Amino acid sequence: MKSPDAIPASQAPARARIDMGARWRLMCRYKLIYLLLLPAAAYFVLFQYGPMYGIQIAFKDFKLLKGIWASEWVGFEHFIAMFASPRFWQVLRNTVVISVLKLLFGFPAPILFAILLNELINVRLKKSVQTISYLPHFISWVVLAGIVYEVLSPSLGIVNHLVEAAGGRPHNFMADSDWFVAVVVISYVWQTFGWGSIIYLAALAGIDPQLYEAAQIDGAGRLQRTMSITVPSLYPVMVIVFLLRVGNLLEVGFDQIFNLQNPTIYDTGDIIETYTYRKGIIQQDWSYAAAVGLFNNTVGLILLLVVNRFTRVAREFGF
Amino acid sequence: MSVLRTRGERLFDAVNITVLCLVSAVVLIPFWLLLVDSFSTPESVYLREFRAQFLPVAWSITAYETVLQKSAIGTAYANTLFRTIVGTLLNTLVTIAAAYAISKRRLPFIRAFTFLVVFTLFFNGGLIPRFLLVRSVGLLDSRWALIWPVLVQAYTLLIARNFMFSIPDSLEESAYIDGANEITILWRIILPLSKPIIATVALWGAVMHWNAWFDALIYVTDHTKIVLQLLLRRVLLEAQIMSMTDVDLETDTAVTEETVKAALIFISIGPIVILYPFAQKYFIRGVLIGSVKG
Repeated sequence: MKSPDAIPASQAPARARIDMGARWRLMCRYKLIYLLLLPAAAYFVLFQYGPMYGIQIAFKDFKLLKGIWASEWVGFEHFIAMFASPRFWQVLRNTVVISVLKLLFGFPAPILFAILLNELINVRLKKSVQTISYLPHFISWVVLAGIVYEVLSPSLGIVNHLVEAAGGRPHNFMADSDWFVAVVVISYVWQTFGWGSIIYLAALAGIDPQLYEAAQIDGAGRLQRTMSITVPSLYPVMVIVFLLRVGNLLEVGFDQIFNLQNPTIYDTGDIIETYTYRKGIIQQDWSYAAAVGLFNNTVGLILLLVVNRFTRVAREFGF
Repeated sequence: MSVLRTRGERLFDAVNITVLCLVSAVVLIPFWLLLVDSFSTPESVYLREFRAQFLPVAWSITAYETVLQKSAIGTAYANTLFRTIVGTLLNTLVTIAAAYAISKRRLPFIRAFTFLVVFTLFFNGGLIPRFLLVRSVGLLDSRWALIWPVLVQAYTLLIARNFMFSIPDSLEESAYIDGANEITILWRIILPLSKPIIATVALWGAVMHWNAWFDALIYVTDHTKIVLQLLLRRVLLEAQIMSMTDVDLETDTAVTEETVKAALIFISIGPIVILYPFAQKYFIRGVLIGSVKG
């Protein structure tokens, strides 16, 4: 098969005005390619774009029996109800608070870890520490939440045993809304610092060793070499990772929070996605839940587009 | 780098090693404590002191025996195995085929299709419309509801495409000149060269299917089709949640022993914990391909 990516240059000028006939002939010639694409295309049309048709129920009074099309239009009624609901604002606030705290602690942790790992001289130790740190990434939040409940258990958990050993009194952290956000952020950092360091370690592996040698000859100590060679070489990756995370600010980690939460901590621990789930799937208030979901996705899209612009600018400036 | 190290540097190295060992311990200790629980007698868990947590006070394998005797667990394990094996096979097949196709950027509609894929990373219908769609195509309460709706992950597809870009076109061209047909080229040139990315896509798919629970929670109510993670959620979490909301526990079934919960956790994460250290490089490769260019 002649590769389609290598269409002769002589054809290139005509590409702008390529007519349907020529396109069709090209497609017939490479029909195997389109055949290979077919299952994935069907998937995206049905399961990714299909649900987008259902978004309209956010503007309708959706009834399961009537179906999406036959349900009546109600305009922005659900959005007005949503913005008038104190519960919604609380959930939105929780989402933003948890997200910002996760960014604040979850962003630097892998960087610091990668730098410390990079300073390890013993390769075997380095490999073992890496492998161990990746472990939680592969475990589902169902299990991790189970582990968190065990570790924090008032009677049996190691944390409360430590508290008691230090002279304190055991505390039921998982039933205390003042502690819930801390539990979410700490367990998040615990799960992700190892896996998140991979991308930084790759950047560190790409540093030319001559830089270090030259710096050493110039009399730079180890700390100076780290601060003026290692850390700056991570800036480009840091900028991209940071921007990506800001763009996904409303994605707070449904799996984690849904499995950790219980009704006693809803005032600080309920987020938009869990709220949508309860409103829609449990209480069957379909249209309202779809409106909340649409709000979430639209704000998310705007954030991503803004951040994408920033990322492009950052890349242009050499990041 | 340097052969001679100053006293300060040696001190730093010692501190660094200590810190990283502590960090590793913090990751491992929760797992270790549960492992200890799973091999203890049910009563000894409640009796132990802080110091005695790190080794069983009284050894026992009754927890594992209890777990293995429960038929619900066998069912859940079989259901998870089914979705993982069938789901991963289909995922990998469809993703790799599509990745090869969309790596041919100059062909008509390929760029447009790629844009449609990228767009789903930015915006999607959301939970409720997705649920209604799965319901309307009649997948509710079917095993296939756990497979078809997650057939292709947009992000994985784009990573696989980026990998395909790295296969030089000249290879295909020269094979074509030598008289090979399209199928031969695909089978003899593209597939062998794509082995690493096939491994990555398959492993990512397998871990996703093994750990998935939310789709099973909302799409499947038939308890003979319950997956392992959902069973775990019932045993590990829902009892906890109930105990915190003053629900009358008398009406609920007996609370599961701590040791049995721990054994259940190890039976469910066992395959992953045993396999991932060996498959690490394939997982990591995917992360790195993804970070080069989106």
